[in-house]
Amino acid sequence: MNEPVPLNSGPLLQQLQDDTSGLSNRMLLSLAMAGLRVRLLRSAVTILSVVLAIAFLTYMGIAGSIERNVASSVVELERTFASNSDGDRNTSGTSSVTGALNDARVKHLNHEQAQDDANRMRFLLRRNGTSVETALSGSSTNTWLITMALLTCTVGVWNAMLMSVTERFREIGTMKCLGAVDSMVIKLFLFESAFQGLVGAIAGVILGLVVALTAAVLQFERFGWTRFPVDQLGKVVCMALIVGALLAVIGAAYPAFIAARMKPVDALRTEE
Amino acid sequence: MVDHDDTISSPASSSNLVDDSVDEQRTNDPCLGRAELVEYARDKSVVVSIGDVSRTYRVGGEVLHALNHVSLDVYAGEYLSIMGPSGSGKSTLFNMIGGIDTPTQGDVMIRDVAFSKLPRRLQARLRNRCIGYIFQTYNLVPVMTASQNVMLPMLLGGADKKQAAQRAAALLAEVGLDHRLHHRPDELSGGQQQRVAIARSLANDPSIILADEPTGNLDTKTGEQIIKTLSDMSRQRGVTIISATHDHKMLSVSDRVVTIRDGRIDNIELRDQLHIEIGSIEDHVPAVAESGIGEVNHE
Ligand SMILES: Nc1ncnc2c1ncn2[C@@H]1O[C@H](COP(=O)(O)OP(=O)(O)O)[C@@H](O)[C@H]1O
Ligand SMILES: [Mg+2]
Repeated sequence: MNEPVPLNSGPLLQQLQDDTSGLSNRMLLSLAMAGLRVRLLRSAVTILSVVLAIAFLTYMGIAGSIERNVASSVVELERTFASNSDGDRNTSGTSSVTGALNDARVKHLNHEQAQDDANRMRFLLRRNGTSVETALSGSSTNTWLITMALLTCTVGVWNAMLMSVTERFREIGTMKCLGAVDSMVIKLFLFESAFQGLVGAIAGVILGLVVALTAAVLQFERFGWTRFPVDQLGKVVCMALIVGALLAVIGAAYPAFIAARMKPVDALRTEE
Repeated sequence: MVDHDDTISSPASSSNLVDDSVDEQRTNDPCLGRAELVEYARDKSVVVSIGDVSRTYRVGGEVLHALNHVSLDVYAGEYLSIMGPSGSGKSTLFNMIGGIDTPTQGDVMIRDVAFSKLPRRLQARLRNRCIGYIFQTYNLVPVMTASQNVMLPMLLGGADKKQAAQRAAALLAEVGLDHRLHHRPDELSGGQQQRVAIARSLANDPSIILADEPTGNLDTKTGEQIIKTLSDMSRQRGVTIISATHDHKMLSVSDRVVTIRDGRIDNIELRDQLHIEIGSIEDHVPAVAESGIGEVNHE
């Protein structure tokens, strides 16, 4: 237990300077968690805004990749188709030097299959209001859309954070009277928001993936599965998690800073 | 006794020789030269020294003097009541002493430390270690249980969680709430919440407890019980209490009563004087007769 400082013995200032014990980070974390648990509804709203932002980001990332994969498959298949016919006619290139009859039949089958696939994918792309060329060019409208949506979500998260801090001004004022230092108030809110951001981001990634996959299967049938950008998955998920946590932390930083710098009297004067 | 000019300078560094400081800086003090007050101060050490403190608010171009050159020494272990009608500046003074607000002019010294000149980190530490706060509106943290509320100042001071929980339980038992440890404030009555606040204010064994109209939101009977609990527990521990009130029942437990009016100290009375001057108080405040003053007579 921390020793009380008896005012009557010796210079108080010295004692204050010497006694550096304070709230541990672990305790701070458990305070933040307890606060989140009790304010479940409020934190759920904040988390929800992150979930939506990240789900959207993930969806756009994955859906764009699938479209691009499908389009490049078309190009690839058509190129092999073209080069195969070429090779049959003149070069009979290195790969088909040992080409036997069997090989040729298989090739022929694959050839037809490839042509069917390519045509089907072209059709599906067109049905979705795009084309091989547009999908490959990485349309700028998508980037624009993502940026706008992210900005909107940032403002939403910021608003949620601002609300959750301002409605606790009185509590902050009380905590300051009880001996909370400025940095503790800031850390408390940053811990809370980072946690909310991470939880929201994880939920958002899952939601985004599910929606992207469902949409892909609906739009591109089996190609939605087979052209799923597995290689992009890690990148997209990592980015979504980082952006989610950042969104929340950046949203909370300013109000937390304001709350921490507030004179106790101003914080206490606000209505509960 | 205090000799570190290098750090925070304290021109009126606390001294047991109250007479000196009276001569130096207490020109507005109505107790200046009053023999019984000088006698009262003898052998007492100063815990809080309010030195010519003013606090002005600027409201729509007009300057409002909430506190107007107030000087006052508070002595270790006394129960000081600050009386005055609503709007007279009690809360403003409370905020000044507790370092919740900063004076426009003048300084509040807690022992040898000028609050407003401390770095914010040390201000927080001073509040945590040395001062207990009790508010009219209780100000418990709404999302925490009674026990967690009492633990909070200890945890903020770096105490171990288990020990803090034990101490919180003991303090809550002392204020008669051992059966309400895990209730949240909204599950407690006003009187019970204020009991939790008393327990919380004592959590770190402070030397000073500041109470701003602790009974203001309570009915008469509950208010009396709260005052009794507060004064009993602080007497046992030798804690100095500074309590703002406009409730005359508070007078019965006070050692000294400071009346402020329009931001100035109007009068200072000792407990013994209260019944001598009862006639004059009665003139000003008719309600006194049936409330607390009668009890003072017995003592
Ligand atoms: N934040 C503020 N802004 C402007 N005026 C204030 C503020 N706080 C208090 N006052 C004024 O200062 C005076 C003293 O207020 P206060 O100390 O709260 O009185 P009491 O606690 O004795 O009722 C009042 O006239 C009040 O209107
Ligand atoms: Mg008041």
